[in-house]
Amino acid sequence: MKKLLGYIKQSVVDKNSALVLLLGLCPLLMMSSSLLTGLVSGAAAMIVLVLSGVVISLLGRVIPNGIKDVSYMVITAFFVAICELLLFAFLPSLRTALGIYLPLITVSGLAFAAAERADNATVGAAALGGLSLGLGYFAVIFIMSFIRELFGNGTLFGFRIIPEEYAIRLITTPFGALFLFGIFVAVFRAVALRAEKGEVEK
Amino acid sequence: MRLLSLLSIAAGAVLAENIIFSNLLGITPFLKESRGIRPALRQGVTTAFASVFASLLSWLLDTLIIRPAGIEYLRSVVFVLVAVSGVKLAEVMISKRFPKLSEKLDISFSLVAANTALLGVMLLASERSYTFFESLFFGVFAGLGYLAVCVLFASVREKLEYSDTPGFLEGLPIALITAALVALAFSGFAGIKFI
Amino acid sequence: MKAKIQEKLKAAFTLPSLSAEQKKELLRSSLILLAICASCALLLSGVYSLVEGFIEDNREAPILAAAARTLPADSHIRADFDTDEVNNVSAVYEARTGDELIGHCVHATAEDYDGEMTVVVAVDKEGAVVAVEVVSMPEGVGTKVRDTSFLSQFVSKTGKVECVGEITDEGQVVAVSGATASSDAVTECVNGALAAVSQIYAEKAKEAAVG
Repeated sequence: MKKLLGYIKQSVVDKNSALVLLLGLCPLLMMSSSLLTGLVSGAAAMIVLVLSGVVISLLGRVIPNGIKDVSYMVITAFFVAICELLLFAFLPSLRTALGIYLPLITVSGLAFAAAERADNATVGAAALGGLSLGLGYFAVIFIMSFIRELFGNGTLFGFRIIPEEYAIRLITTPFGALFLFGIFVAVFRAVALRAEKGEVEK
Repeated sequence: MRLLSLLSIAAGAVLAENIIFSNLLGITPFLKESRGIRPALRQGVTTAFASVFASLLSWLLDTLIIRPAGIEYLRSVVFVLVAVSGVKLAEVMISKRFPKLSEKLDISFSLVAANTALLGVMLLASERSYTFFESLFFGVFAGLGYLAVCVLFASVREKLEYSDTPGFLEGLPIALITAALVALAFSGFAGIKFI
Repeated sequence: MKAKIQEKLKAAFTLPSLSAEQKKELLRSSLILLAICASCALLLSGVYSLVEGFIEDNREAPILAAAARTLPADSHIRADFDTDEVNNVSAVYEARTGDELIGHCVHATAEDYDGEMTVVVAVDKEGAVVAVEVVSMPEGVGTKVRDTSFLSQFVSKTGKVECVGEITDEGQVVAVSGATASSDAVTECVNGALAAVSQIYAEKAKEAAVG
């Protein structure tokens, strides 16, 4: 159990898929403008990465090398499409709010990395790989969408928390996303560096 | 009026609705390849080249297959499949037939793999229900917009290298923040329409 | 010189010759890819058929809500009513107060400048417009047509409405300046609605005459 936690910590914190590996930036930045869309996007990404990882590791042996990348993408697209359908059916307004960015998870670096990890791996390793990538993404998009909705819109989940006059609309634009993410990376690096220094000094 | 709407689409694709700064499409390679003007040029030209085909392809698929059969829910799967196969085909054909060209460009799987630009262009064109000419204009100018911005940003990053950035902002963070500012500048183009 | 270019072009577009082994490999790869895509498509259509009902309901919800808004307080809509193909009309709903038919609500669509416009038109038993509401339209210049100042012009109109710059006749409405296309689109919807409703009454009259 401790080993599992250690592995998760390493993949979510040390080598965070978004902040360090720069994977899945486009969906991350564009779907983090409100907390709800961010959470849904994060959840969808995790589900897609784990499930497609599992299927890829199972089918990987049967698929000839030449068409591996194409097939892996189709498999990922399939799971993303399922998420899309479910959203269309049960949360349609959310699906329209997410726009074109939900299907883009298929071609984002996230899915590509998950496929790479699942290729030639055991089912467990593939699932774990997808989970850790997804968790990293989820953590980052959660924090970002929290900040962006709260300070950019003054609401959280649609409930007003900060009066409208004090909300900084710019934060909800792509500018805000890039800016905030830049600061996020900087802070992350600073903290990581300090932690490393602390450990070395020990 | 049709011509004006085409011009609007073109202007939008390059300026106010630039696919990078308004839609953040293809931002990962944009950030990664902007460290020098040469790689940025390479990335930009290849993506521009592919973007034309991508948007036309999406028009073709929408008109011939997806709308008639009513399979809108399969749209992203179909697009992904066709885009990926198309890029692979292009890669094989170009590397075997035009080796010099393939050296200059970078038509590899990474055009679709960790790059949201191509599929993004296809989905945008499909979502906005563009006609053939609108798709064509959109593809060409979205690609040109991407190319222009890539090169632009590469030169900006070159300047950043020589400036005195505080320690923890060096490299990626300051690049992101600068990109944010450029995005803000581009959003100032909003409202340029030819109606 | 020309021959050389021709030769190069020819070489570019001819397929490479493959050995038997390579052909087998290619065939195998294609078949496997086909199998994967086919199974994905099948599974997806399976999931789609399961959730199709929900998706349709979601699509109808805003229409029904708009329709309810155009009617007097204690009336309700009765679901779907089949009309023969009338241009622009997607669905016709019966509006009833209690059990009494008071009119129809028509879900109509038309091509606007930038995309598609969805409109709900309430028509009373005499075939005159009661209310018009724009449910959705593409963002842009034409959104002024959603104002009551424009839409209220349609009230009491019957037959065919014309959208013009200045009113010279009974069945005309003034377009919103700077939003001609959108005004035309709304008019198209209203006309489609009126046509659909008059068709319904014509059918009813025929049935009554026969029966």
